[in-house]
Amino acid sequence: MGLNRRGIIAIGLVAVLIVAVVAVALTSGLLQSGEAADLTDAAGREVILDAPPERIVSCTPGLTEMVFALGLGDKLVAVTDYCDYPAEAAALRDANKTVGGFWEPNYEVILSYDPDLVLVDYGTDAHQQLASKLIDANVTVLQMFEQKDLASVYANLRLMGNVTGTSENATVLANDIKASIESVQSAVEGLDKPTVMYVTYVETGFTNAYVSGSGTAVDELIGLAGGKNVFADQSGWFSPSSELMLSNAKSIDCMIITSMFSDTAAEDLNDFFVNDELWKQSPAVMNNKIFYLQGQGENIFNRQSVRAADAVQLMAEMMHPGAFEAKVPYDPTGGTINVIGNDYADHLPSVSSSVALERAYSGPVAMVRD
Amino acid sequence: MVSRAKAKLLMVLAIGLLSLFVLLVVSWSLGAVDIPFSDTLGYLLNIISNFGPDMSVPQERIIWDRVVRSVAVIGVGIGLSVSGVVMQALIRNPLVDPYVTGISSGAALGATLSLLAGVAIIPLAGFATPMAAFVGAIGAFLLTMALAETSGGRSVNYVLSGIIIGIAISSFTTLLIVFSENHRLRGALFWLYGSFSYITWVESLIIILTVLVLSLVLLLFARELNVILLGDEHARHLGLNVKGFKTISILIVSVLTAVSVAFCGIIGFLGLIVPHSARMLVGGDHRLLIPASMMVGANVLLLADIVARIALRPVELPIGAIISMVGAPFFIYLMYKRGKEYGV
Repeated sequence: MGLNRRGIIAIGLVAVLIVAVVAVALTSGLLQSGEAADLTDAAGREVILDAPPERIVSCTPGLTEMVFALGLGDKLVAVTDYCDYPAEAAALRDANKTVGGFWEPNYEVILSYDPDLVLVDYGTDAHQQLASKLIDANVTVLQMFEQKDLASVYANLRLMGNVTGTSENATVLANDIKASIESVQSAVEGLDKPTVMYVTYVETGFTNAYVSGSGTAVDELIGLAGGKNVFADQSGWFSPSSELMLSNAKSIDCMIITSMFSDTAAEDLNDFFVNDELWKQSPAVMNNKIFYLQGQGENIFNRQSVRAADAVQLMAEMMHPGAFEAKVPYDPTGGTINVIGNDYADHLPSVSSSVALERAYSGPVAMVRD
Repeated sequence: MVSRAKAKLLMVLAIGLLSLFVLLVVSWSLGAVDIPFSDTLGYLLNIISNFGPDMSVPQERIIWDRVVRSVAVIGVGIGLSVSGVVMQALIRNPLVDPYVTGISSGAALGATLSLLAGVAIIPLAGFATPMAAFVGAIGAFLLTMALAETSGGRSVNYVLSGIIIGIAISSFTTLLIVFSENHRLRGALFWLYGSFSYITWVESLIIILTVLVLSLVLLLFARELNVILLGDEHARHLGLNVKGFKTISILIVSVLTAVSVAFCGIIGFLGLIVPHSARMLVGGDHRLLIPASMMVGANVLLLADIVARIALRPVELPIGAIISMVGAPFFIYLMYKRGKEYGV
C-alpha cells in the first residue's frame, strides 16, 4: 500500500478515535445540577434515598462518630481500621468489619458489604476517585464536606441528617454543639489570651515537630477557647526549623502535645523540657502548663466531628482553669505530668455533648481502647 | 526467512492469546476478595447476557470492576510497549523507552500539576489531567530533543539527555508535592507510583480505544520504522520525509504515554523489557515486532497487576515498583550481554 493511502487511513482512524473519545467523555455521567440544597453533597450531587439506610459504610472515623451520634449506629456495617469511638465502632473494627485505612479504602471490600449508603470525605482525593467508581456501580455515595473546621461539622450534620431522615437529631446535635461552644466563649471573654503551641506530632528530644499555624481546624479551636496561636503568622500545619522553635520558646504560655505513640513519651518529653537550658525558661515549662493528649483525648482534636465542642472546652480549661468548674488535670508544682487520655470526659462539665452522646449509645460508657 | 519469522509471530500471538485468557480469568477471580474460578465464569456470562452487572449481586459488581481494570491494564501494557518499540526505532537505540527519554516524567509533571491544582473536581475537567499529561509529555520530549541535538544529535545523546531531563523534571514534581497541602500529597504520591485501583470504566474505555487505534496506526507505518533504522540519510534517499515522520511518531508516542500516565501513574521499564523480549522471539522487523510487543506487553502487565493485588492483600502494591524490580535486573542483563553491540 502506498504511503499516501496509508496516511489517509491513519488520519481517518485518528479522526474516528477522537470522535469516539469525545462521545464517551460527554455521555459519561455529568454532574446533576444541585437543586434541593438540603440534599446536595460536597460534590454537588443530590443524594436521595428511597428509605432510611439499613447498611451504612463509613470511610472516616469522624463520620463514624457522626453516624452513631445521629442514632444510626446499629445500621453501620463497616468502618475503617481507625474507628474507635464510640465503643460500638471499636467493636466493629475489632470484629474485622472494616474497609481499610483512611487513605485507601478498598473498593472491593466495600462492595462485599452490599451497602445502601457509603460515606466518604470529599476532601481526600482517593475518596473522590472511590466515589466515582462506586457511583458507576450504582452504589449510593454521600460525599461529605472536608472535615477542616467547625462550619464543616455543622454542614455535615445537616447533610447527613437530611439524607438519612434524621434531620431532627442533627439539628438538636448541632445546636448542642453551638451552645456548648458559645458558653465557653462567654466564660473566657475578656480574659487575657495565653500564647499556645499545639503540636500534633513530635519525636524524642522534641525533634521533627509538626505544629499548627493559622487557618487549621485546631487554630480555630484555639481562638474559640480564648487563646492565641504562637505560630499565627505561619499558615497550615508545618514543621518549624529549630531556630524558629527556639526563638519562640520563651513566649509560649501553654503547650498541647498529641500523638503520643508510646507510654513513656510524655515522661521523656517532660524530662527534656525541664532539663533543656532554653526550654526550661519557657513559661509553659516553668508553670507546667504542658498537656499531653492521648487516645480519645487526642482524637477529639484530630477529628472535626461531633465532639468538637468538647475539644474547645478542654482547651479552654487548659488555658483558663479559673474560669470553669470542670478541671483538666493540672499540677502547677510540676510534680506530675498532665495527661488527658481516654478519660477526657471526666474533665468535662456533666452536661457536655460527649457525655450526652455516650448516654445515647447503648452499652456502658466505655473504656475505649486506643 | 520471512515466513519463518511470520510463523513465529503467529505462535506468539496464539500462545499469547491463550495465556492472556488464563491471566484474565485469574485476574477477575483473585483480589482482596476471592471468587472461585467456576463462579467467575458463571457471573461473567450473566454480565454479558444482561449487558451489564446485576448491581444487587456484590460478586458481579466486583467482577465487573475487575473486568474494567483488566481492560485498562491491557491497554497500558500495549501502549507503553508499542511506545518503547517506536522510540527505539526512532532513536536507533534499543535501550530507550518513554521512561528513559523523559516523556513519562513530563507526563507525570503535567498530571501532578493538574491534580494538585484540584482541577479534577469539576466534571470533564477530569480529562484535564490526561491533557495536562500530554502537554507535559511533549514538553519533556522537546526539552530532551533540544538538549540532544545541541550536543550532537546522535542516539547516545538522546539517551543521556532523556535521562537528565527525566531526573530534572522528576525533582521538580517532588518539590511540587512537598509544597502541597497534606491530603492532596498522599493521593498524588500513591498515584505516581502507578496504580489501577481507582480506574473507572470511562477511563478504561478511553485508554483501550486510544491505544488500539494508535497502535494500529503505527503498525500501518511499520515499514517506515524499519527504514528509519537504516539512518536518516538512507531513509531520506528512499523517499521518506524523515522529519515529518519522526514528529508524528513522537506525537503518537506522547499520546500513548500520556494516556497511561494520566490515569495510572508512572510505570517504567515496560517499554524496555517488552520490545526486547519480543525481538528475541520474532526478530526486528516492525511489521512483526509491533504485534508481538502488543501481545507480550498485555500479558506482562496483567501478570504484574495480579501480583500487585495479591502479594500482600488487601494492601495493593504499586505496580510501577513491581515492574521496576523485574525490569532493573533485566536491563542489567541486557547491558551486560549486548552492551557492546549498541553503538553510538
